[in-house]
Amino acid sequence: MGSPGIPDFTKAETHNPGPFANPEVRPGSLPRAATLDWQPLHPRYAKRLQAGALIRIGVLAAVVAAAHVTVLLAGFETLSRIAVWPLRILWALCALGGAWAVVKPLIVVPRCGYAVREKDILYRSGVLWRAVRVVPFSRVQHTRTDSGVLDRRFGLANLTVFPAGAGGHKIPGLGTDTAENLRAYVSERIEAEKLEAADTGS
Amino acid sequence: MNPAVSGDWQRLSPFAILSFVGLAVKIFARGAVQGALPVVAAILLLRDDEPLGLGRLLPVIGGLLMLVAVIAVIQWAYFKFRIAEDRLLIRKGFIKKTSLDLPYERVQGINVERSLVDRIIGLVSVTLDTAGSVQAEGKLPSVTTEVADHLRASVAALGPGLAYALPEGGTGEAWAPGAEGAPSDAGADAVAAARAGTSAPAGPRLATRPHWGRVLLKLGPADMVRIGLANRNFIFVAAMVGILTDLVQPGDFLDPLLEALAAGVDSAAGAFSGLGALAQLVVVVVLVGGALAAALILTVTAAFLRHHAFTLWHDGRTFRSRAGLLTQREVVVEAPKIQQLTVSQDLVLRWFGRFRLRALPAAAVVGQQGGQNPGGLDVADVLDVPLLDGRRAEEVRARVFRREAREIAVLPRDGAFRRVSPHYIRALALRIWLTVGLVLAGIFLQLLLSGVSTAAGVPMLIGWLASIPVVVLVAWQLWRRRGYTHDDNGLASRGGFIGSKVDAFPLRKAQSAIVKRSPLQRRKGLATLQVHLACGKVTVPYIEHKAARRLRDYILYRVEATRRRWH
Repeated sequence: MGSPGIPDFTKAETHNPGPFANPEVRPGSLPRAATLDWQPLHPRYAKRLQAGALIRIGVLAAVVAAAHVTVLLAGFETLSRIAVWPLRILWALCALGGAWAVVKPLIVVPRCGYAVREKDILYRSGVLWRAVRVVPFSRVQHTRTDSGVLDRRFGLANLTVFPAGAGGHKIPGLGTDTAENLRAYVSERIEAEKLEAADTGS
Repeated sequence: MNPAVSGDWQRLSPFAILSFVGLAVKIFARGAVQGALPVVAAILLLRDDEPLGLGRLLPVIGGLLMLVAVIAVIQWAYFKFRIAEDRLLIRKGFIKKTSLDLPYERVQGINVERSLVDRIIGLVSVTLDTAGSVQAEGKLPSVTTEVADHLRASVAALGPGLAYALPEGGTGEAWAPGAEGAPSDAGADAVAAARAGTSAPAGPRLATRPHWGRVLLKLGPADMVRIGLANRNFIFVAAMVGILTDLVQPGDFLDPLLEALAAGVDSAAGAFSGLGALAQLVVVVVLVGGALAAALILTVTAAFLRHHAFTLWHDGRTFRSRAGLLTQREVVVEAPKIQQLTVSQDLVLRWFGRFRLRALPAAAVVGQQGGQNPGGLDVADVLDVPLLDGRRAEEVRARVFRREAREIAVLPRDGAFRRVSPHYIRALALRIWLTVGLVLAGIFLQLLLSGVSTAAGVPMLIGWLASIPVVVLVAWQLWRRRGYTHDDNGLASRGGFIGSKVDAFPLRKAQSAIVKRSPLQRRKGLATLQVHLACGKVTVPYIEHKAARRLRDYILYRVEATRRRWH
């Protein structure tokens, strides 16, 4: 069959919305993923990521400090001589990790975003390796919102939509209200899809 | 209205604490096996001569039990569920709060199980299975049978089960080649077409059970030998046999029997070195040949045990396979449930001109996330045809996909497959070489720094350089095997290294789609398309970014445009 072409479904749609129209929910945008108006994640999400990473680095630093003190107090000549360089490297790692913990969210978070259309929900992520994932509402099995201790502290929540098999697509760093509204909207869309399916008598 | 199913938020019965205790113990046990066991072993090894008595262990065990009990009570206290008209809502979690929303309409199956404790109290545990995503499926431990019955009735009324009885000419719309009639008007025409279809291309009818439909395939003893030969474990088993016959390690002190054996082999080895070169060669050949023969016998026996008298039936809707010598395994898969066909062919199968075909239903992939199966779900059975020729593979393809995607290629050497961009070679070579090269460089540095011999540097460097063309060759071969093809209804992706494997699926079965781009791909205007199905994912790497996006949008369009269920 050589190279089968895809039937030009987009053109037909501009003339006649027909059975498949997929306009974005926010008005004034084209229904193309490339030109979507991506919604940014919550501004506090970067701070939340920084806080989480800094806490982790802090724990590591505490462990290193404990090790350092132990080595110093142990009073073994050879041990302290051997341990000098590993300890310096560990401290350097802690410092680097701390800096990275502050910088990374500032790079990553602005480049993440989500978009909701009438028929599907999109999430893009990645700085070097970029990905855009799309889940059609008609394939959503269930949804989940969750928020950990830190998330709650920053007033954030994560929304995960589960299609069958794929193990869930997570949209992190939403405001608590946004997450709840989105979840409600997704549920509503699932409902609507169901009704449509019943209408056409699948 | 009954309070149990009234639609208010409610707690589980206090007996559910026991089930949470069980869960916590399980998690602790798993953690212990993975993490704590080495620590315990170390303590046992390093301890002073004092025996590790019960007196010292008891407080530890008691403390752990207390911890488990407290965790279970907290989990119970924070677990609330609500039975709404059309969905089940669960809120749980003390530190990490989670809320689950399970519309009955999306529930694939409902498992009701009774543990011993449940049976004594008269309660049941209900698990709502939403295809595939094991990670977050809803489990209600220790609820009354009333709740279970209510849920079961709701799922039966609203869930996908209903669609099963109704559409697609429920009574087994027989597949007929060229019959283009809509499946829903399976009236007299369809029956006639089915009759014509079944009588024309069918070979001699083998022993058919009337209600099981037509026999598509039957495998004989010769096929068992082929399966045994094609078994990938063959090489592995041969190696194992080889290692076992080469048991000369003197380190075996565990068993006096082993010691005696080792001594015997040692003396044999002594005798071996006394022989001449030619005789040594003969002995080696005999040993290797013996190992191969033994492995062959083992794998062929395994093939007989597992696939003896493999028979595949198809009755228009259901595929059914039965095989086995001692224990007969029967797999029943409904054709509309099949998400994806996988046809693979390794070197040995290629030599025989045969293929292996697997039809994956939803949720065939379990434990993708956690690596385990917490709910104890029944994994959907994969229809596995171990050996069939190309014509039969095409026939099964046509019967699974029916009118849609009838043209899609499933055989690896189909001319329809298109190559992916040659930049794939570069990316692959870089990826492989980075790992290989890093390891080699590490060894090289180690040798240099240890100062054992700087003379080893030159050969190491040569080896390092020589690895480059090898890696490029490997990447080139991987690229050669890569391919994809699609038509209006289906997509097939091919991959492999020595053998090859084709994954084919109808577009409307897609669950979600991802377009990924690495920095290299962005520079070259390429992208990787990943389509998630209910049974796993299919990847098409390094195609034009525009094509990938267009394909993605078209898949989404097909998903929306169809009103047929994907499961």
